[in-house]
Amino acid sequence: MLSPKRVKWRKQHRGRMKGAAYSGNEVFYGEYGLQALEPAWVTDRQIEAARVALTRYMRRGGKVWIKIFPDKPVTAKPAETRMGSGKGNPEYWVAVVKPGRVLFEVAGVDEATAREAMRLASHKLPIRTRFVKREEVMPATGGEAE
Amino acid sequence: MAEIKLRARFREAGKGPAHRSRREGWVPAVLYGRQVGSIPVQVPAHELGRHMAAGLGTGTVVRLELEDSERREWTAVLKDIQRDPVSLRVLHLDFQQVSLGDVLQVEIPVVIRGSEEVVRRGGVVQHQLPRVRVECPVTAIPADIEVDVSALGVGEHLTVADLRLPPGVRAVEEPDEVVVTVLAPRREEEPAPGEETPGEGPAEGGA
Repeated sequence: MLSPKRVKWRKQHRGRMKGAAYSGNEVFYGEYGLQALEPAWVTDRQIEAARVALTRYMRRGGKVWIKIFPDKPVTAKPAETRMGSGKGNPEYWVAVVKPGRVLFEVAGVDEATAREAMRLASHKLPIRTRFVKREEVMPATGGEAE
Repeated sequence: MAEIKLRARFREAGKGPAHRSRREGWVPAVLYGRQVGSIPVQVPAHELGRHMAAGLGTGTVVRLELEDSERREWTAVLKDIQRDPVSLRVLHLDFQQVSLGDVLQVEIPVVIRGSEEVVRRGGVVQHQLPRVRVECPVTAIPADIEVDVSALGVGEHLTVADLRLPPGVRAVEEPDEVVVTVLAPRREEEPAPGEETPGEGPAEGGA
């Protein structure tokens, strides 16, 4: 599972997920991408499950880029513990995803394969997503991304 | 691409007026340059949409017809388009006023040709530089720069120095900047053994 090798501080505040992703919102490395349409914390397990779904379907070839990294620790208190006594222990890692963020990119496969692989991967994620293509020419007014 | 005529109108500067202008079917924009200074303007959204569908993008020369102004027409280059990342709606445009004799820097999209050939041979094309910054006369701004990758083998790449630029166009990027690489496809890999279990967490740090 993806996680940082070393962090400066073990626990973080929860933060807020206002607004849209103004960086990481275009298909940069590959030809096709999976774009988030909702804000969410995507866990390391969800990212891994989606990656496995993608690579299993594309087993014949192609390349996959994972464009998000779970660098935010989430803490939880053990079950049946009384409230108080401070913040719980770090349990897992999440990536903070805002609408517009491209989560995965693929290249080296035809569009139908990429589309189906992304569909399978999207079922492992907690948010609505859409399939997007790299814009070959400069973008038109909008609506050309599916 | 052919020169485009676009109607524009003055608007008040600021966030509120910009929102209002979008609500009323305009797209806020700014026109700046040596002769004009900086003028907040707006252009009609439907007209802009029509031109964009026909290929208007950054680097296109536009003739802006400014209503209610002493000088009605300005030649400008579309320098930047801001969009909503989800709806892809255009939020704001930057126009740089130019004279036809000027030389300026613009970002031009790099279009890859022949990638099917590479895929057929088992390679994966990685497009590393989607837009290249070039310096050229206003009258010779190319719509895009084509790169043919059909002859590339796995592990080979093309750099900015390999780009075939039209006459009068000079790349501003470093010549050794990689534009496109052909990679070997990655086979499915199983998760590595000895993975971290959740909760183990990273090494503690901090003071």
